[in-house]
Amino acid sequence: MVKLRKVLIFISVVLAGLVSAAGIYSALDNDFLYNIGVAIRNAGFFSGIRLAVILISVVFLGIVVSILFTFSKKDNSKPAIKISNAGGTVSISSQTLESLARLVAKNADNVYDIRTDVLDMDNKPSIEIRVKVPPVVSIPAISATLQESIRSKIMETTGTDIENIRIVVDGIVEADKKQ
Amino acid sequence: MSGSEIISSGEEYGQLKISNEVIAIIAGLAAVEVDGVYSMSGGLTGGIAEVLGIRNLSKGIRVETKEDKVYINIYIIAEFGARIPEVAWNIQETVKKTVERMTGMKVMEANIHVQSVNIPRE
Repeated sequence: MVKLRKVLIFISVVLAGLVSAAGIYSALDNDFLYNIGVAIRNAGFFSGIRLAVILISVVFLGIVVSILFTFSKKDNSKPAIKISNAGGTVSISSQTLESLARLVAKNADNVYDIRTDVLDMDNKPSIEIRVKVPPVVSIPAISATLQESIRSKIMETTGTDIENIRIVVDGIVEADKKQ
Repeated sequence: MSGSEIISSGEEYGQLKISNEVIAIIAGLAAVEVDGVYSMSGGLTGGIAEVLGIRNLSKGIRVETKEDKVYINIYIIAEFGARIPEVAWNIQETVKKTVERMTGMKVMEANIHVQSVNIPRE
């Protein structure tokens, strides 16, 4: 992943360098951009030069988008739980905890629009679950059930007790909007 | 894969050289057979390679060797419902035994990284 990102950054830097060089050159040579424009205009629709321009532009755009995507994406493969044993260490990622919590919440009644987040990375992870509930339920009862179910599922799967499971009810939905 | 540096042992008739890549393949094949392992986790590049039909037997394995000692990092996606500490221990035991039996090298650490859990589709 890191290698791929480095390669993408390298390619985009090279392309950006070429575009900058072309920009500087076009500022010095009045006819540079004009000639390119004329060449593209005079070339056929499926000509090499037109295809090359489209291809380079698409590749450049794709690289920029993928770099933005990889930078903006939260890195939740970081270990949330680390256990040492005789054979080495066992690391369990935040994503694993989030998936388990989300699945439990998804199967719970009267819980909608679930979003999960693992907050603490100091070998004592806490999980925050943001949900919406229908207007006719007891929120404390739903929260208590959800906390207990998530806690026991994570305990069963990872052998680790999550002390802090925070439920945030951030909205009300109509009861027939189950996702 | 942390380089493909070679290690050597046994000098009676010459040198024996085993690359890290070979150790990674041995470890990967052993790890994926353990109950509770859904698949190896090879990241984005591994996923693209798989889509393109390139089979990577060392996917999700990183090997480091110091002299004749081996340190292995194993990245997995666990099966839903599996008890991770038990699965991890079984992987460590299986990989250690297999690599040591096949290479004669000592596996010092087999570190398990559970990247995700496979959630069954409804």
